[in-house]
Amino acid sequence: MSATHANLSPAEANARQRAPVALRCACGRALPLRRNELLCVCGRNLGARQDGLWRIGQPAPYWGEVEEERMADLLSVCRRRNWRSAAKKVLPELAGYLLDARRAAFIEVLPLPPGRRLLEIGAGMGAISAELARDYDVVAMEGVRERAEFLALRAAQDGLERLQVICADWHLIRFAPSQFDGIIMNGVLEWVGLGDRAGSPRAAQLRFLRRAREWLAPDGVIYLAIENRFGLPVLRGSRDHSGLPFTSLLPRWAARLACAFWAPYRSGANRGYRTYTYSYGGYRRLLEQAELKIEQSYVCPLGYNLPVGLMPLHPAALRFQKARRGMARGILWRAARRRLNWVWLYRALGGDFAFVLSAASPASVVALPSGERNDA
Amino acid sequence: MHELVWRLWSRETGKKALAPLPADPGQVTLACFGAGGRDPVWIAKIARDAAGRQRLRQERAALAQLAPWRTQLLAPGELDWQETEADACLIESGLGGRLRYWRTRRDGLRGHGGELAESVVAWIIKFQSLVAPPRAVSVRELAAEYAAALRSSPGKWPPPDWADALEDASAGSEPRPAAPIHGDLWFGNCLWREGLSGITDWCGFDAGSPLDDLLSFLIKCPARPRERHSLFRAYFFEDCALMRQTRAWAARLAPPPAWRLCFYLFLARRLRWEAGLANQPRSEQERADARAEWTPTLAWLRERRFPAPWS
Ligand SMILES: [Zn+2]
Repeated sequence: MSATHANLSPAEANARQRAPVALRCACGRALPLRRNELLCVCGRNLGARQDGLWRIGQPAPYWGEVEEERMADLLSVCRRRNWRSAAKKVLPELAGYLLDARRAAFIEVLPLPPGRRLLEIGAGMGAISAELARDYDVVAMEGVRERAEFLALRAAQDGLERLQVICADWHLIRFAPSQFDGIIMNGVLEWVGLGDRAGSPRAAQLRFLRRAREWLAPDGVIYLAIENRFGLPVLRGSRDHSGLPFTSLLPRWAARLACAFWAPYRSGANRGYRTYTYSYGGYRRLLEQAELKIEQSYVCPLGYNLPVGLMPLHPAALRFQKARRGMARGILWRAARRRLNWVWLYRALGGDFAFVLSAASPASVVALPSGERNDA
Repeated sequence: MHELVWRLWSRETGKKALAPLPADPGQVTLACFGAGGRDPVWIAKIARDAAGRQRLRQERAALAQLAPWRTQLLAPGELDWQETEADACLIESGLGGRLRYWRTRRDGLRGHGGELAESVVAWIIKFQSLVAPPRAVSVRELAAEYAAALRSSPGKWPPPDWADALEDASAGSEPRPAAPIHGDLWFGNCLWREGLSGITDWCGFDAGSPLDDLLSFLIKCPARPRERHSLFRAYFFEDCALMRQTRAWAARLAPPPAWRLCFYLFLARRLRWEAGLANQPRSEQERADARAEWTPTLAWLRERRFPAPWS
């Protein structure tokens, strides 16, 4: 976190909160999400709000944890009764996952005080955004229409006034720069190569990270949670994003070859091998190239979808935490292994990483013509 | 991030790290490490439910009372505090050192384990001589208080005759004032570096049995759950080197006629806590675990009509 964050006066922070979130039109103007439509003076129509959901451009093709038909069932039940009971009825196996407030537990280590503005990219069915919207102004962006509609219903039924839901393709939407104090990417970066097929998946990921960096306030942070390409779960044969085990371990060309004979997993666009994950060093290089600086890094012992007990990849902090955690079990075993270099071990074999990132150098912010005239 | 934590975190410069630590349900504990330091600079505790906030208030009151003797008693100091309608946050100074473990054997705590226990006993004596208990009560009044709490327990656990046993021990004892107690002294709250270097987690600070901290330290020693019952007997009731050793420590804290009441007072407090009747709510699972752990020991004591320890 840069020093400017701490120096931001409450008045400055409030001023930023009061200005509505804005999109950036292709003509360069900023269009605030204020009324129910987004008409630019240049004549372009960026989208509109309907039933509490901003629809910006074409949604992404359907994909998700559940089949499209069941998702449609869920939505129709949600419209008649409370989303919680609907989720329990239609998706009993996912209800816990959708309802668990601990999915947002990483917020405890994210250096942003309550009241700041967050953007969650790939908000899915909203477990994280809905929880964070209790204390923060949250913009939840989801590409799949059905999931975004579910999230909008959830926000409306729970009276979450600080949650704005946007249905838009992440690859196409353009926010005005420097307006988010925090950007959440929980299990998102690895999928970026499916929607942006120009060049290598790594190039797509870089473009994605650079755009997010541009949307970040000068003192903002990005929370990035993603799998380790060579983590222990992968070595044990857990399913990679291709739907097959072990593909992340292969050279990329071999993974592509292996996937050529395999039906797309989770998304019709999941063809070839474009869901790249990396080692710790690989992420460091990728993030450096995107001009992002790693401020904190963690291993998620229970996976990034349950970010409790995050293990800091910092020698003293990790040693201290492990000493406290070891109390409950395996004390004698633990004492014998005290001399191990734990940070190295967790970097190499940890299953999921969570990073807190800041912009490595001030982003080049282009002054925009104001879009205020539209509202007059 | 909690606003208060964020303010302190923003002040740290250089390569810093935050470690979430295991905490009670409803509570978040974070340790902050600065550039190059091997000890936490500060520890933040955040509680959002009513019981957790109450515990933080208690801990804060304890730190305030201990402040004049903070260095002698190796306690943390309060760095900041904030309570709102939604939560409470206490920031304490970090303490250096690490946890240490040992093996308890019937032939006594020897070498390393013995040194640790000796240091803890010396610390308890210093603590009891420096600090006044936060409320002026006698051990007999405490016995009545704990007995009432045990009787109010829903369900049949802790067993109701425990309150009777406690009152029986109380009736035969001399009136004496209660001692200050840390309230949760066990190896997980003791830090070591060239000797005892820190005592953490002060939310249980209260008036109590003069033997409370010693017995708590002995009973919650590193041991497998299966060994606990036999260790309990070896500490207090069997003629072995371990029993003679703990008796000598007890003699430094309370005179022999007071031992029986002090002992059952400690057990009653422990049971009251583990049954969720005081200080901290317990889940069904935790209550069931505590019950499974304590049942053989309690049955063994009942069969012998609640004997005095070290006799
Ligand atoms: Zn325009």
